[in-house]
Amino acid sequence: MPALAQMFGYLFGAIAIGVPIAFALLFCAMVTGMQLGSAADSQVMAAQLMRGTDSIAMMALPFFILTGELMNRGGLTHRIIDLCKATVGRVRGGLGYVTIIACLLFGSLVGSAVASTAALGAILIPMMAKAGYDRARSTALTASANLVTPVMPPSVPLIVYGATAGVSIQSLFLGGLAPALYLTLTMCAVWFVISRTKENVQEAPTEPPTFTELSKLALGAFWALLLPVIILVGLRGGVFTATEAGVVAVVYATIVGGVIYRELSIRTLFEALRSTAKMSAVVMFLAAAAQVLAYYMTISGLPDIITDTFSGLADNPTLLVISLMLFVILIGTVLDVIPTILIVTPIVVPLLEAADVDLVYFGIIFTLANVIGLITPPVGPSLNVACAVGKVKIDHVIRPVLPYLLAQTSLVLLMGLFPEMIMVPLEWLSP
Amino acid sequence: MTFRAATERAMSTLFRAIEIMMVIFLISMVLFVFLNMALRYLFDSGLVWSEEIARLCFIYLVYLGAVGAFRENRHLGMHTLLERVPLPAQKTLYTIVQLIIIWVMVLLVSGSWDLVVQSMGDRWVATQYPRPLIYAIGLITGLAISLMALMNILRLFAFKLTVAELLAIPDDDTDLLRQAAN
Amino acid sequence: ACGGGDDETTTITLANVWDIDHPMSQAVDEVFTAQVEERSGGALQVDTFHGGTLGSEDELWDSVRNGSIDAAIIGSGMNQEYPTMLISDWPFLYRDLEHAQTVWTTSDVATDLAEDFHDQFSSTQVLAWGPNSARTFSSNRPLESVEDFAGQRIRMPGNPIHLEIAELFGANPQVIPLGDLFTALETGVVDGQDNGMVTLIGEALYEVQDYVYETNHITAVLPFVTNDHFLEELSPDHREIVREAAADTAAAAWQNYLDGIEHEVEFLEENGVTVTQPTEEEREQMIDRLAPLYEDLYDEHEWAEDLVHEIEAVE
Ligand code: NA
Ligand code: NA
Repeated sequence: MPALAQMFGYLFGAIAIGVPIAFALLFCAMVTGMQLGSAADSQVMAAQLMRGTDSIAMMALPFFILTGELMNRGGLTHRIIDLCKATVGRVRGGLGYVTIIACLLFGSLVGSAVASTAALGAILIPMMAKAGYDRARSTALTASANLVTPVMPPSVPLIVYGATAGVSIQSLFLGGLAPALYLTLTMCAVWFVISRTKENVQEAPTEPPTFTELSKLALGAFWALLLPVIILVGLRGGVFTATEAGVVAVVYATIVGGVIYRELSIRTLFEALRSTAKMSAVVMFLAAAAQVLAYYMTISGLPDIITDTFSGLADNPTLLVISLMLFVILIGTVLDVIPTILIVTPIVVPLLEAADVDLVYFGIIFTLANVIGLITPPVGPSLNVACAVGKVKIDHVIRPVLPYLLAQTSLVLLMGLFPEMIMVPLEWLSP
Repeated sequence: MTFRAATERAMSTLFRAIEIMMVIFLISMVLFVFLNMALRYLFDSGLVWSEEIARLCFIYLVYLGAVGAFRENRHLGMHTLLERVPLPAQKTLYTIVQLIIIWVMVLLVSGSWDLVVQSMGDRWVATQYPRPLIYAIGLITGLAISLMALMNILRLFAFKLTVAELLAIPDDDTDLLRQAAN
Repeated sequence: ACGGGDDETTTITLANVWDIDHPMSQAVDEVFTAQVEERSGGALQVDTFHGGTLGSEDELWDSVRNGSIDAAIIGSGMNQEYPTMLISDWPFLYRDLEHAQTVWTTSDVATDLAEDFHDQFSSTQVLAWGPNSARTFSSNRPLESVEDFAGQRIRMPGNPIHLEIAELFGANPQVIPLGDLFTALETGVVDGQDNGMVTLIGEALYEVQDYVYETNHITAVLPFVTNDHFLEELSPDHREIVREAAADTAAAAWQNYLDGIEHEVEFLEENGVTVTQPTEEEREQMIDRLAPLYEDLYDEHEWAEDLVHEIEAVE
């Protein structure tokens, strides 16, 4: 434990004095490496940084950011927003609920939160800001609402957990449905409270639209609204993979923005590309730096720490699960979801079997605890992407993201206390 | 034109070129993934090397982008403390930050160099792209960022720029921000 | 090898990319770790990292070369630099799996190649050759004979040899990243794939596949690689303990793998997968179809034909 505390100390100390997070992660990793006296540290850093970048799984990130940029510059976004204003504009914070529901829908299509945050954040954050919502609040909402993506099947974390723990992935997917719903409802509840405040959401009140106005708006937004439909049908129908979906979206948005709406020029197209390239690089470089630290956390005995801390709790399953969840949320501040699952799962499965904890149930709650790490700084991939595409400084979203963080943590602990919340719906759904 | 203005102009041109390269990599990623998918439906076949080219472009995009982002202060970080302490303390902290960055980037250069040497005979499977050229990008990134961090210290003490000026994010593609502000 | 506290103990860092259920990971835990720690009286400790937590095969290969880890079990990282290792990807190289076991555990081929390997990469040594689960095809469309390959979309790894195999069988090979594979099979972007049965079960691909055609077309080996400097720093006694334990680990892994296949097939059938073993005739048919591939490989690598004959000659 002291080694771990020291590591956190270096990292947060460096970040506090203003070292950019990516470099603070590398700094912390290198100091740790030198203390361990392990060989070839600079090579380890160079190699692990490359490993973090050479990731096909992350390639969807630039594609979906680009889609968002193209939609914004090609006139797709403002047509959707006009339609949304006319329909949900009279509900206070209406676009926020649109965001939450869009995340749930998108989450039923893709398996990782980063792609969905990129896709939805790049479109919805500018939209909300334009509609008079506080930019940082909108960014925090979008980052948090995307936690549902890896819980709602399909889910990359659940696949990785299932493969590592030897649990049926189909059962895990079924088990994820109810918690995805809980998460969505929790998000709505928190947003309901936040959107009451004037400075958070300053919406221009809209008159109810006439039928002619509404149909005109709907007709205008038709091609833009077809984009999510194409992605939905294409993914479900097995036409393309999740990564390819990003490219399909890019091509479609370019054609609609350039040829149909004629708002996308060569110049704005170039701007969209340039801006996407920069944002992707920032987020990816940080994720790659986190990979370097993950390596050192693994090699410096994190697995032993977990064994030592939790092996004594086998006779109290509830306490075991809850303390494991708190631990996962803690290390989730600096470790990404997949590394945590890969490191923790093989160690805790024997403990869980000894304590008679259902491995499907555990997989779900474990994934939920893990994905909270997506919005905890400094390594909060979903938060980082949302900040990049929302063009907000990370210091400014920490406070706005707190309510969601607390709510989601409470939800996880509640499920730790009442496994029925997961198991009962799972039994209904199981064939 | 002063020496300083001339260097800044040269740097702007260089970074403009980097941006254009990044855009080319991004377009290539889109094209090759799209091509692979199109071939599946048009010719019932796939390209063995499309995945590797996309990976390659992604790697170069990220490493070059990290350099560009450093110049424009776009790497995510927290400046709450830095912005609130008195000016002399600001200068000290800012210098420490730059020194930390230089240290890790010098390590990146040395580690990348070792990997370049070690992987000299190695290639990727499908494209036969030499692996040393992959690690070489770490060399370039580490070198470029450590030089820029050194320049930052120079700008702070020799050119008398303030920390706030040094932390400023340039105001180029802010269409969206302006749009949002309206 | 990190000295841990006092000078008496040496910790051996060993990593691989396989889950704990892989025969090789199991043998490492049950044979290597146990034997090394016991025979050295605790002076040698083994720290294992399974499941790719320290990196993919390429990174582990780099790490064991530069000594940031002491040992690794890795398939393909060195193949491009040392083309002899490409035989790992060559189809139908063995009469059956027992033949592969003999070649890589007791024959001269194994010892000769280990020596050759050290000549090629002087900073490393291969102590033993373990098994990787032999690749077989699976699909959602009936796949019970060689003819069934025709027109099926099969995901193959992004490696020219693998792609050509599927093509020569009459399938339409597709390159899709492993991470997208599960959902690609589920939604029908592709019909099938090829992987070892261990992966088919471990990655739960059987949940979205209905047919397995047990071709065992590629039986790759997993060299147990150590860093040379680490090995030389050990006392002669300890070095011998490590060497013997590595050999025993590989031998145990081969035996466990071969013994476990029956259970894997049973497991797949219990989960509704139709498993078909090719007849001897079908096997010949597949080998015939791959003749052009072998011609190309022989043209490309002048050592290849001799090595293949050497392997064939192993009883
Ligand atoms: Na999902
Ligand atoms: Na986090």
